[in-house]
Amino acid sequence: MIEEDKITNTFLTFRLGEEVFAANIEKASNIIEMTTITKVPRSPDYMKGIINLRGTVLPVIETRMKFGMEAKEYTRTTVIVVFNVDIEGEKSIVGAIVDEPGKVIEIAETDIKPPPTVGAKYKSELIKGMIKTEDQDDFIMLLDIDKVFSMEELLHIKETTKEIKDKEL
Amino acid sequence: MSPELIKLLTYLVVTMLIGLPFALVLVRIIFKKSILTKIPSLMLIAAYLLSICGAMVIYFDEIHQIWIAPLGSAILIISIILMKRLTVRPIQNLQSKITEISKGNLNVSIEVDIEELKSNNEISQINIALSEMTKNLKEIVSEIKKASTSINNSGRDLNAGSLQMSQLASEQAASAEEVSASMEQMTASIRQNADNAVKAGKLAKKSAVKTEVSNKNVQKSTEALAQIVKKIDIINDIAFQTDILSLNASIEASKAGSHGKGFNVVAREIRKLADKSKTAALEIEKLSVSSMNIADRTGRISKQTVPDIKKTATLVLEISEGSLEQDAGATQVNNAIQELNSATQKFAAVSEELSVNSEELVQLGIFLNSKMAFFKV
Amino acid sequence: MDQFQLKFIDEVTDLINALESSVLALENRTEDQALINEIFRVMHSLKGGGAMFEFYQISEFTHDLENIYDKVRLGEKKVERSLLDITLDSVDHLRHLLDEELAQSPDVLETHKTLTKRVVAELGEIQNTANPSSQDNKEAPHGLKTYYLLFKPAKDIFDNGTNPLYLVDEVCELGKTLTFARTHDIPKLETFNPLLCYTYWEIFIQTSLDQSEIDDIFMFVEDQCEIINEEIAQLPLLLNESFTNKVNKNALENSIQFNLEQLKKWAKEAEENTSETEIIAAETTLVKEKIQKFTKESKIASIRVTADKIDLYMNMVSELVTAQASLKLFSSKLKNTTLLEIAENFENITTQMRDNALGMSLIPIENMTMRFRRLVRDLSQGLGKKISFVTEGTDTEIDKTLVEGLTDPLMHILRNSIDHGIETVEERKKAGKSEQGKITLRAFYSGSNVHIEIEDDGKGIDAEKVRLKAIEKGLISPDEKLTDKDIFALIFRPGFSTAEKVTDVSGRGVGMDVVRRSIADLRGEIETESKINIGTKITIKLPLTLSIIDGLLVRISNTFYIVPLSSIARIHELKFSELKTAYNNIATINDRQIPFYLLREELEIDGNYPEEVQFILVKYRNKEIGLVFDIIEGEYQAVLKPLGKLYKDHDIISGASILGDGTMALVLDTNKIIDKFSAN
Repeated sequence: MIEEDKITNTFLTFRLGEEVFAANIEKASNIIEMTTITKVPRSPDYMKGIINLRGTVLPVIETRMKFGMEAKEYTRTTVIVVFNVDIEGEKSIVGAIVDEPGKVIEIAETDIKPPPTVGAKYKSELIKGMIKTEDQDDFIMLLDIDKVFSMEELLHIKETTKEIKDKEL
Repeated sequence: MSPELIKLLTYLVVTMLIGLPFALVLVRIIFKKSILTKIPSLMLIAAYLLSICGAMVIYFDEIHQIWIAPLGSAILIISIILMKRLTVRPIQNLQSKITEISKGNLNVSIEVDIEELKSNNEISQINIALSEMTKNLKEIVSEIKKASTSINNSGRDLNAGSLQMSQLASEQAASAEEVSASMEQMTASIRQNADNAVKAGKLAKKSAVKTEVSNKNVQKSTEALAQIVKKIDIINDIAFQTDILSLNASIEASKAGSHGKGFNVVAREIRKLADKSKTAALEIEKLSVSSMNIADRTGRISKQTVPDIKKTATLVLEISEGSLEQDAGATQVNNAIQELNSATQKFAAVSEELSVNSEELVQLGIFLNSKMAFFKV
Repeated sequence: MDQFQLKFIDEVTDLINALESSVLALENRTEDQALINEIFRVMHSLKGGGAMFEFYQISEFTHDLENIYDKVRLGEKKVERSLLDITLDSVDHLRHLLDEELAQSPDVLETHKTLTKRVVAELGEIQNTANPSSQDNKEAPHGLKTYYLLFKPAKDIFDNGTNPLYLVDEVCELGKTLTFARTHDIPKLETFNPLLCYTYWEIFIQTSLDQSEIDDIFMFVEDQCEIINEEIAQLPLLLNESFTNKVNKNALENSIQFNLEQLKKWAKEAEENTSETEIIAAETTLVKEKIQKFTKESKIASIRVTADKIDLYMNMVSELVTAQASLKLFSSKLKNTTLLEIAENFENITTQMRDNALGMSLIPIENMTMRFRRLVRDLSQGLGKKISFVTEGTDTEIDKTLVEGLTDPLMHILRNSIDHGIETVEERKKAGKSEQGKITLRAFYSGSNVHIEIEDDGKGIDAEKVRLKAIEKGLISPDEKLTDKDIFALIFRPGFSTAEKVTDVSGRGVGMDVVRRSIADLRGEIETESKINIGTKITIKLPLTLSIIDGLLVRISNTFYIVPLSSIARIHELKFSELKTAYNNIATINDRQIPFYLLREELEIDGNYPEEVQFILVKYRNKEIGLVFDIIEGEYQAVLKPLGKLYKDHDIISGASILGDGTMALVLDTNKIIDKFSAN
């Protein structure tokens, strides 16, 4: 039981723009370097395409776009985090392009604060909680990976980003 | 009138009209145009006249005989005087002239009067010839006189010139000797110069080769540095990959729960190492990039230097070649000067001789002059 | 049949294992409906499979167990210790029954009897009042009966291409047979017509199958033949020597056909002097012989390999094909002749290996359809409906592992179509349809999937009825808004059945949920389309485990695409300017008007076509349609990989393939592409 707690309280962090996100380690499969991505025609822009992950097809998502950020050029630190995602109750793998991988952190349950309900940038159901650590000035947003990458949520986020954009304009 | 008078008178007239001209023509034919013609002609005329006088004496009484005798005498005298006058005088005249000429006086005027010219007798012929002769002589003598004077002058000049020349020649010979000496010195220096140039050329060549080698080395070192930078890239990549790997290891370790805890620590250590090697790689990269830049610059400079040095080498070679040529030239010049020197010495001797000879010539001129003074022109 | 039986042993072993773990799990969670359903399904499969592959002991034994779990499932019985004990003992016993030697040992036979009694007792406990004697006493426990069959084909039977010997062979496959060919009708040579059939056959069949199954064999020729099919004994008479001797003697003495009365008399005599034990012993010998035969064969001809290992092998072969492609690519780049030779050799081996792997795993769908044909006939006759069964694309190959898993669901769907879909003759007349209904089974490849469609022209499914039923069953709330597709999906929920009365055909209560689960187990999907009074179409999409297709590698810009060679009719190289000016996207090639699509535009790819473009004519619903690409790279053996759930709705690309240099090529589903573009 102690072990299980460890699992649920261990997170992989990654950076997108200025913001740091965390995902439950259980969801993360591994991290791979950026590689050439084959675009699938007629798919939405944020669906970057597919890559060859050791002989299997890995769909890759432009996470920045999913989070309503401007897509920018990839740097040396840009990596693809491979997540195990439940899509419609079926286990799948999804690659998420992030600006920089972070680290594996263990967080005590008490350090996880509930997500803010007002004034949040992202849909609250996508954020499981906020993490504050000593060596981190800002909060780390703990993501619900399944929701973030499940298909309906993709649409939601697209709409959300559109709304944000519209507001900004 | 007596018929004896008429007979006489007719006689007279006939002789006078036929005899005398006939005689005269005869004389003329015999003596042709000779001066001697005048003598018979005069004698004929006188004879004739005397014959008349004799005729008259017979015919005329003693009253008229008194005056015939003088008249006859007067005719004789006149005809002698006329004879003398007409023949002796021109000869005497000629003789005086010739005497004068023999005395060297070429200034005698040998006038040939028109009468004489007309007469075209021997005397006038001689006169003309003599005049011609004196005239010619006079010309020759004056020519000779002039020539001898000029010979004299020239000889004098020549003498002076040759003297001067001889002096100059010795002077020149001295200078030539000097030139020759300096020339020899110069040749020696040129030779040394050439030797040095050759040496310098060799050195320049060597240094060009060496620079090229060093240039290549610089290039190699630049390449090596570039490779280092590339390798650093690999290190960087490895560090990055190690980073990712350690993250992946962390993920796996976390999933293994407490069993993975130790491994997680190891993974973190690996990550730290990866980070360290990343920073180290970054520093090395910086250093190598800067040294690469330096090497690059050096390379560029040395690359520029190589052609310069090469150029220098070729120039020095050219100089050495030039010096060698110059050496050869100088030797030639030296030889020429030596030759010139000996020539000058010969020339000095010759001019001295000439000076002596010219002295003799002056003496000869003077002598000639004195000899020519005989002629008065 | 033998290899299927062997396959069945494999499958049953898996099923029994699954059953054991489910039962153990059930011990802790006695209320878990999913587990109960699972156990029930396993019992059901064991029973059906056992009968089908002649493991009668298993079939009989699980029959009662299944009944128990049916009750449990329906909530009529609670999961109790005693039941679990029996089930676990049964699990062990089932394992023994599968083993050829153990199955015959007296111990096992003893256990068989006691366990059967315990099961019956358990069942009896449940249905004490409802049905005190669930077992038909008359039914022979062994289930073997003996039939007499006279098959006298019409003389002109050759005219329609029937070979009667095949039919005889087919009959012989039903069980142990004793066949007499009667040739006394053959005339003298001078009057002999080689185009006529003079021979007829008399066959004694000893089988557990119903009489009707023998009839089925002659369903297409019954009008042209004289057929007598009589059950002469509920015993395996052919094991009775006195009977066979009599028959043989009679046949030798009289060359004319048997007297049926006489036969029945002999049968009765034989029945009287045969004891039960003898029969069972004989029967078991039979089974033993049979199993020994298989084992012997299997020892020589085949080995047992688990599906996992085959899957792994297939994957390895796929990887090998990919690796081989990279080797080919790089060796051609290096231009080293030795290496090239090696690569070529390697390619040949890989191709052979691939073909071998495909041969190991693929089987044409045709093998299944015969069974369906009989099913349709049986049921339609039983229900008084006229139905023609049409199959299309039966040469489509599917994984062998899929065949077994597919049979039951397809049977079920067919039963449903026959029972609920196709109307009775009167109903059809009323609806203005032809008397004869039509059920079409269609199989085809679509990208990396195999599609199997079962389409009927029956009354269709009333979406509203389904909705109401779902509400009634509490599956959905009354105010939930659903599309027809969603509603039809409800059919596949557990415990859903729209049939107003449970018929003996599709009654059982094991509804479409079993179908859906079975298909899901095969990683497949199932979809329903239906229109009232027009018909219903159920589509099963199955992924190919080893999907290596021969494709044409083409390119637009930097992206590689693979068009399956099977869908390509022809390739032309054309000038782009000609296409650009073509009116209404119709090109004229060799005086034919061919509609085409500029894929660059349709797929929204940036950039322009080169001057020379590749015009690939693909087959599309009996038509040919042009698709325009930049460059053709060449033929390519593509190992198909699914794009994953995220691209689930993106069906114009049926998968991806990894090229030799590791880059991806997208496999185009030309049917879907043209569907999509033509819809636009």
